[in-house]
Amino acid sequence: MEAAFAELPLALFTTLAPMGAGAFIALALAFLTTKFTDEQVKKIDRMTIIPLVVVLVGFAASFFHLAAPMHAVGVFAGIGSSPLSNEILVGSIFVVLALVYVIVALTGKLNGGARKGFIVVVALAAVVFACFTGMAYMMETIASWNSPLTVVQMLGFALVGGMPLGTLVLGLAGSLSDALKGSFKMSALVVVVVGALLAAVGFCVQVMGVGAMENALVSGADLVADVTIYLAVAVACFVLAAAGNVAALMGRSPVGMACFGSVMAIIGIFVARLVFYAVQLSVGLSF
Amino acid sequence: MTQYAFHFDGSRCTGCKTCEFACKDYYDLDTDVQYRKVYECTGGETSKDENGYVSTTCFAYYVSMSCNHCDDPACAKVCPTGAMHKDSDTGLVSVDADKCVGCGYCHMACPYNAPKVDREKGHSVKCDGCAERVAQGEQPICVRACPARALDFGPVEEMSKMGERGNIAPLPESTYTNPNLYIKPSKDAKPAGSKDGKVANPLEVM
Repeated sequence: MEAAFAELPLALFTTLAPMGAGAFIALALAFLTTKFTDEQVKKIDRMTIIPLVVVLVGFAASFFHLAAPMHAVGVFAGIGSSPLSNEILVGSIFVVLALVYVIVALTGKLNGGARKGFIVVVALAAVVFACFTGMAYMMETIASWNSPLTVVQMLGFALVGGMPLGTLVLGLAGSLSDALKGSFKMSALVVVVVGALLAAVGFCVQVMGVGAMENALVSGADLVADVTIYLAVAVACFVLAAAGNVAALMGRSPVGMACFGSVMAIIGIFVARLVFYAVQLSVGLSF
Repeated sequence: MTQYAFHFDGSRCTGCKTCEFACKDYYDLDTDVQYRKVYECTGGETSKDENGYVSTTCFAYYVSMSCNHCDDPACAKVCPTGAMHKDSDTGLVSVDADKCVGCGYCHMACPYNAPKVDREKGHSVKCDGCAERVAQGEQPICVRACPARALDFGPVEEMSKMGERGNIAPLPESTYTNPNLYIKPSKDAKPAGSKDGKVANPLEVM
């Protein structure tokens, strides 16, 4: 795990940005399924700053990974060829959309169909961003990462982290009880459970698969043995995050449970990201 | 275009590491940075049977390697800024320090452990094939320094006559990036991708 701690800024970025983005999926579900009063909408918009800040803190953390952040604008030069450029392009589009959404919503000029259309676009951008974040790690020369499961787990992280965070936004805005009267409850339950499954299964199967790999420097079995306890912690946190969100959706201490679910998700995803970096295993001379 | 390549003669290399230190000295590299590395590849076991007869399958050999200036460099392929690039005249792969963002993606992707981010310098660093020396008609400093004449450098048409393309362990299969490293293996050498041996000096080369 020592090598993984060298990637702390990236671990923070890949924890916070997809999770914050996932919260917009929960909000899109809420607006599509519930008719809120103007006052409720105002409060929800104010609280939507929380997931936006989570995303921005994630992006800010990523800059600490760079040796020359002043050259960061050049990362768009590789669009189309570099998976990292593609990820940052899609991430930037998501951030711009989310920022514009929040700003326009806060001015009170986003109503009815326009709001629904805009939040759905932001939610779709969040899904694409999560997938591209996973794809950035799929390289032919890193055998342990070069799997579609890398994308699956990242999408799972966005959902299992984003749903409790989005539920928390609704709870803090005092609008969750109204949302739970309609089909938001069932749709959110399905999404968070699917997210937890994608996160846990995608993550576990990918990491356990590393056990059968090796190169001239390191054995995958040794790498997996080093991270097994952390893998268990991450999966337990995913289960608790989903459980917290489910409890909130069932109306049991909604704000407290959504907050608990969000914290568990942050811990679980962060630990999973460290494990992911710890099991980097090249086809050649790198680890 | 003349694609340049390295040749490594494993039957001549004694593992003295003069190539490594000539490079470090020439480029005044810090203790944590080396462009050329000598990998000690070892494996096998020694056993004694019921009659007391000792037999062994132990082997050990050296591989001196820097950047292989691949035909399909994984580092340049993933580089987000285009800082890591392949020269169109010489085929040598190098870093444009003014563009590099220091993300370390090249380091992750390269299966030959060539690029590395130097955070003090603020960009990736690696062997550039001594491009300036080559432009002046000289050999790379590592080749010039090798006392056993185990290293050579020149147009790929000449180097490829002296060996097989990146064909021994601990190198991966050459099909990943098509390295411009042509090797004459030592007697003990195992084929590329073989799991029989391990790098015995990881702290020195990683």
